[in-house]
Amino acid sequence: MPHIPEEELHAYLDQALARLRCVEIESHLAECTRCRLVRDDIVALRDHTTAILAKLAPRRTAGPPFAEIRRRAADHVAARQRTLHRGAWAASILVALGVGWTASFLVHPRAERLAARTQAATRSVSAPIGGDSVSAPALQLETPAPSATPALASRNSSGRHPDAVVKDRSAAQRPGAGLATVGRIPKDAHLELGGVWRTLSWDGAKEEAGDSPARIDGLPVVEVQVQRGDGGKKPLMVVAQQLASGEVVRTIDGPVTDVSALLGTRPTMINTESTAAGPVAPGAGRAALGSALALRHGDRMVAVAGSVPSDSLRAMMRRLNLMTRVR
Amino acid sequence: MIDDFEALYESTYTAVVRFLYRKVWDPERAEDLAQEVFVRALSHCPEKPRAWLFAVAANLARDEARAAVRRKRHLTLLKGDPIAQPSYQASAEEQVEHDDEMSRVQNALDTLTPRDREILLLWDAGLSYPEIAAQTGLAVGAVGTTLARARKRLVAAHDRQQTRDHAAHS
Repeated sequence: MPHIPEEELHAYLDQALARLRCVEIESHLAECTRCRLVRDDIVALRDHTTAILAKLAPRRTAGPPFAEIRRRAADHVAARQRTLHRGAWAASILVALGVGWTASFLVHPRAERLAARTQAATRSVSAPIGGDSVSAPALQLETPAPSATPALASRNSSGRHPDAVVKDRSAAQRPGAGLATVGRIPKDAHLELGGVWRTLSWDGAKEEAGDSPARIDGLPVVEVQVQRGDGGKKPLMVVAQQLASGEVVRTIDGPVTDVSALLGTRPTMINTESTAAGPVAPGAGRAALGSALALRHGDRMVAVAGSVPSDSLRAMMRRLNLMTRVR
Repeated sequence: MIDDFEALYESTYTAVVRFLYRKVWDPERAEDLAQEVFVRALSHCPEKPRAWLFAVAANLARDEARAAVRRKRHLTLLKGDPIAQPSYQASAEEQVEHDDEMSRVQNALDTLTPRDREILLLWDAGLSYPEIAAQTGLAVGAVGTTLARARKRLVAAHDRQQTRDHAAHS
């Protein structure tokens, strides 16, 4: 049997070896003088090491009673549990907030986004306009407020508006009115322009218009009404959209004559020069209800009408998705 | 369970204090840390409490050393050391001799590498090879090798200093 490695003798003396290995080592030590000498040296080294370290040993102290340690441990556990409880409360509140926000966003994702964009659009209303991106002429048609609504298309020959329309308007302007139908026009109403107004879904309106109907980007659409044109003409379309404040703004797109008639304004009053985009007389004071701005392009006209200040209308005019198409 | 801990406390407290004292060189602090170790052990109820005690003690001692470095508070080994004081009123000559011996031991320990010192102190505290291996991350087979090297270096450094001191005194 080869000699026993020194480190194994250390382990043997420290009783760190398996019993079987200890028996083998002891058998070898009984026969090997050299290994016995090495073992004796290691024993002396261990004793010397222990003696040296013992000089650094503290005097024997009993320490505090175990009951004192238990009491401190109980305090420690209680403090840790308090911390955990506070953390759990904070975490549960955060989770609840997160779940609630996520759920509301999932339920009304589009409404959320549109509301945010509406607020942005409303903020942009107050921005001054001057030689900016609005290259098309924008006329302010100071029409009576009711006439700016498609519901006014159902007015009688005297140009007055039915009370029912006013009621619908107030309902639509209630905050949180959401997608409630506003300014509904009786289907059997024969308008001054002739034809019958129909209320369509957004997809139906797109199909009817052959393209995306003119509307203000960033505002939720609450109603689309259309009147089919005669003789292959493009339809007269009114898209009602709601501001965050509850105000309803309508975008009217159609033949010049029809739009003008709907607004109660003669077509000759509309500036048709697309490059003559001068500042528009604000008229905000009297435009609390029913101001309108119109843009003419060839035989088509797009108007934005609503009970908002004229500069707001102007800002909305710039957000018309139709502007891109017209250019 | 509590009874087991009480028995462990009675049998191990002194070893833990000694283990900590050799790391922080402050007897009162060593006792405070030892009590903190047992408080934590009672709070956590570890599966292998004895090995756990020394593992936590080593961590606390390490934190204490870092804090001491931050405070730039240099602890001295023997000045005002109540632990190593003999129980009787020693003469001035005996006190000087005792202080010299303590200083030699500490210096001898300082000559070891941190790993060797840690393993030697854990062994002296009574931990088994598997417990030492578990705490230090060494293989069990390497503990014997490391211990053999640490013992030799400690004894050699101590004897060397003792020889030098005796030569200086004579």
